[in-house]
Amino acid sequence: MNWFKKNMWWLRRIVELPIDIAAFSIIAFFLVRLLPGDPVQLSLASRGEGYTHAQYEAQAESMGLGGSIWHQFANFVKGALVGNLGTSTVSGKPVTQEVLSRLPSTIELVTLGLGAALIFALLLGFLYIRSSNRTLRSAIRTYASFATSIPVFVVAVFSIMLFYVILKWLPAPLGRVSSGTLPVVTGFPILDEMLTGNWAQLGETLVLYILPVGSMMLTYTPNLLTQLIGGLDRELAETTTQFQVAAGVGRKWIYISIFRRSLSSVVVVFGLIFGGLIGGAVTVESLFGFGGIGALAVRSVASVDFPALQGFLILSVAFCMFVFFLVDLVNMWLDPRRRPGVANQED
Amino acid sequence: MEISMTQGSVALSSATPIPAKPTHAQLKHNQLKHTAQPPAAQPGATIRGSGTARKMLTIIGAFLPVIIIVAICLFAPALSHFSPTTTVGAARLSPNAKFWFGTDSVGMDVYSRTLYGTRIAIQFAIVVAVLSTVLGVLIGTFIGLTESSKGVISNVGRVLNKISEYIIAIPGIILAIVVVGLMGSSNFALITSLTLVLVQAPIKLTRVEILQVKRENYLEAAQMAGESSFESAFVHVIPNSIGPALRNLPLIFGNCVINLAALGFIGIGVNAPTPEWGYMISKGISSMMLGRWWEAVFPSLFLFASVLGISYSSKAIPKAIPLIRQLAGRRGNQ
Repeated sequence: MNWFKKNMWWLRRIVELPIDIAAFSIIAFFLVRLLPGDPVQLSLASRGEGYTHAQYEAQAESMGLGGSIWHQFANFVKGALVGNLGTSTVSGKPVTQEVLSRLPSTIELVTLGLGAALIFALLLGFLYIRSSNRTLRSAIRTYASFATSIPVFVVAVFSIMLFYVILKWLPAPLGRVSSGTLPVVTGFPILDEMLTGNWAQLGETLVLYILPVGSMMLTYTPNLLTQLIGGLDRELAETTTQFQVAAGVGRKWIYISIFRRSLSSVVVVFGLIFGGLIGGAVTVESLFGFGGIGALAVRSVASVDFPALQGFLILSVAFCMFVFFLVDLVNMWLDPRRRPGVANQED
Repeated sequence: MEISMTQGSVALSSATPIPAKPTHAQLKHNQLKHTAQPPAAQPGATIRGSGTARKMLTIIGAFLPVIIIVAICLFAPALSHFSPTTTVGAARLSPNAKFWFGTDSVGMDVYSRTLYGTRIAIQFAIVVAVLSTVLGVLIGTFIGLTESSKGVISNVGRVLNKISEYIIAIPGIILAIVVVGLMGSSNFALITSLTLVLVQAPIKLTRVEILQVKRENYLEAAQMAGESSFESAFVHVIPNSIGPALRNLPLIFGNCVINLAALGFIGIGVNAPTPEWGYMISKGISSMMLGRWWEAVFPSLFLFASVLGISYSSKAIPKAIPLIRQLAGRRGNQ
């Protein structure tokens, strides 16, 4: 019982996760059907021929749009419970499989890009409180103010221009390897190359990752940095910090304590961007010729592949919610005051 | 919650004490909101020299990006010499005296297309920003007023609030892609999808504000004076709680420009040959690999500069307004 009480904070969150995902799936189901426009008609029209009523009915059925909305809903719930979100009308493969086979490579790219941004932001944050140089501090603050106002693909275009077209330091941004195919074991390209011992390909991939990861780092660092600097400015003036200084705590530990207290909002923003980039990385992926989950969405748009679009929406948001769940856990771990019930005990 | 407090915003933090577990919807909305708020003015940073000339300079500087963007939109036909949607010269010319930014792979003038691109972006941004703010304020007011009342209508309010919270959890670009995909590519579909993505912030901001305004005494007074609740919502509640949503408007504006370009970039934006930056950039990439850099770089520069300009102005104008009042006040006193 005591163990249960102690670990309540993360146990409760685990129980909430599937409920959230289920509620969202229901909202997504109705959302995509309430939109004005008729996807069945669109998909038939995209083939450029006329169609009969029977053809229309057949197409609606294959897209999961046949019958009344409650009939569709019953089918949807029945399928979703066993992990079946319909079949792509283009490839004929199950949507779940299509999405899950592309997800790892996107996750890898986003993790590298945002991981680099996080490290860079922490570095600048450290410089920000460590340095007494006014110019440096205001430069860091100005960089942080660029948050959310730069599209990542513009940064990527400039970096390709500079490093490929003008300086010719880096190879053409055309995919993950210049020739041959990537081995597939887990779906994470770099990991697979390591597992199969394709060191030459691994080297190529790492070099080709420099530009996309660098652009993502430059674009998303300000978002994390504004949160970090805000937190650092606040925590530096806290009585806790003054007390630590007065009590003669070592400098290193004061810094660690300040960073730990400032990090929670950074972690939240990190999670939000990470979730958003699962689909949002599509611009970077298409620019650098990487396949990914976004490419699937764009292909589905072109062919009005209703089941694939619906599945893409539901699975990517389910993934986002999983990321948010991790963010909550990390934050509760970083700052025990955030655990449910704890705040009340303090009062 | 944490985030909004760092910027010293009042709306949320005073309404509720720090909850143990803020929902992501709230946090995301705070993130949106936080960026919308002008950063706390550093003492003495903007008003260091209190000379009139200096103040004038600050004011002009704050409005300058917006003025330039609007001027480009209005005078695009006068500034450019060629039609933006037809072939006007040989294809793939590098920038020269006749075609300042060169021509693209079908011989259209990149300079005219880039200028007209400002128009397209700003037209969409104005429509979406106004639509999102108006709808957001109305829906937010409805939710705020009904969710804690009694009867069937309170359930409607609560369900709407929950739905909005879930939609906030969907990454904007994913939602936009799906909506455009299902509605077919048209301006109407683009506006619907961008509005659906961007309306959530004003809904949240207004709702939170309403929850505070609702407790004010003048509402009770209005009720006693015999005003219907519908009337008092429009006469008293909305005018008093519209502030945060209005301050958020420039942010929607900038976000709309970015999202429209992103959709154009992945090929599901405004239909070709409309001069739209994102589409131009994505078409120009393959030329750039072959050394014809001008097709992609100029639209990128314009997109970059305009988004940055909007973001700068939206932060600088609120700071400049007190200065304008000061200057106007001084003139009035003389």
